[in-house]
Amino acid sequence: MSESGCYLYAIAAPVDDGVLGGLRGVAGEPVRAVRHRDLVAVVGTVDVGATGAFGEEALARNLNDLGWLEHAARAHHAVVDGVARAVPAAPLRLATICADDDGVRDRLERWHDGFRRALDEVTGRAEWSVKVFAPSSRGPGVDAEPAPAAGTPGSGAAYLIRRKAAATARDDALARATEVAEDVHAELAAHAVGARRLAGQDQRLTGGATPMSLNGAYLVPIDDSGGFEAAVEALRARYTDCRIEVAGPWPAYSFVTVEQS
Amino acid sequence: MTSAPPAAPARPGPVAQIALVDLLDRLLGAGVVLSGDIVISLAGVDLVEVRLHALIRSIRAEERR
Repeated sequence: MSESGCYLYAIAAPVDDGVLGGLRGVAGEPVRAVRHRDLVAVVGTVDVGATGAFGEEALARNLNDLGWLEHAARAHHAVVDGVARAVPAAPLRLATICADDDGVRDRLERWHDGFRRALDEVTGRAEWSVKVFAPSSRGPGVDAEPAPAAGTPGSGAAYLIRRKAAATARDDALARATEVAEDVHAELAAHAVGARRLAGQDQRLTGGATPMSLNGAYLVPIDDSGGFEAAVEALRARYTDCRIEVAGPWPAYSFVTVEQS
Repeated sequence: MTSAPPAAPARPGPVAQIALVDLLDRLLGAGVVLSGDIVISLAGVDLVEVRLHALIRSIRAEERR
């Protein structure tokens, strides 16, 4: 049985229908604005019935399907990004669904002031990501190469010495990466109006050769994007042994959190 | 006629490119948190597990290709 629900993408300042007209949501559906006072909720209608992709059981299953999850996340992002480029927008988490438009308006009323403050925070600003990866433990700056052991080559003692040296080099590389992460974060936070350290991403996910020591998110005025990128370049030149990745600008995902009070 | 306040600078360019891992970090762990009588809302914690395992499976599948 099909049953419709209201999927929320973002709470935003009033936005032209022309902006929303070009966007398609997580179910390929057109997106529209639910208006209340000086706010809009950008929503799409999805099937939350027992047979729909957004029904409670199906959704739990679908979110475990990486292909489905990626498609949904990218579609969600495309809508949020499309809106955030045009007007200040506070993104919602993936798969936030209300029963109907009245339910959406009710929340816009209840949390109006919080949403308003959130939008003021992100007006004219965008999020950037900067990551720092540890240097390779065999890289320059690590002179832990042991002197040739006096014993027989390949002896147990020589092996243990080599292992210990490798472990020491790894520890040194991690300590160095932690130190660089602190500096990079402090420096960039000074260039940003908001800064957060997100949990480091698992090395198996990043596919990086070395661990991540900083997963930073920075809220930067849009007209200062160039200055922020220049600051990252300067840090790269200062810390040539660590890999520093920068990405953005994105909607302010990491800087808008409105909790029910 | 009153003059409109200056518009916030618009971000130029096409849809911002974002790696899936970064997107899921944000869509499952940040953003506006609505609670109350929402029909369905996700507990981020469970999904973080899902994400990690699912992504590792997918990365390994790609490596085997």
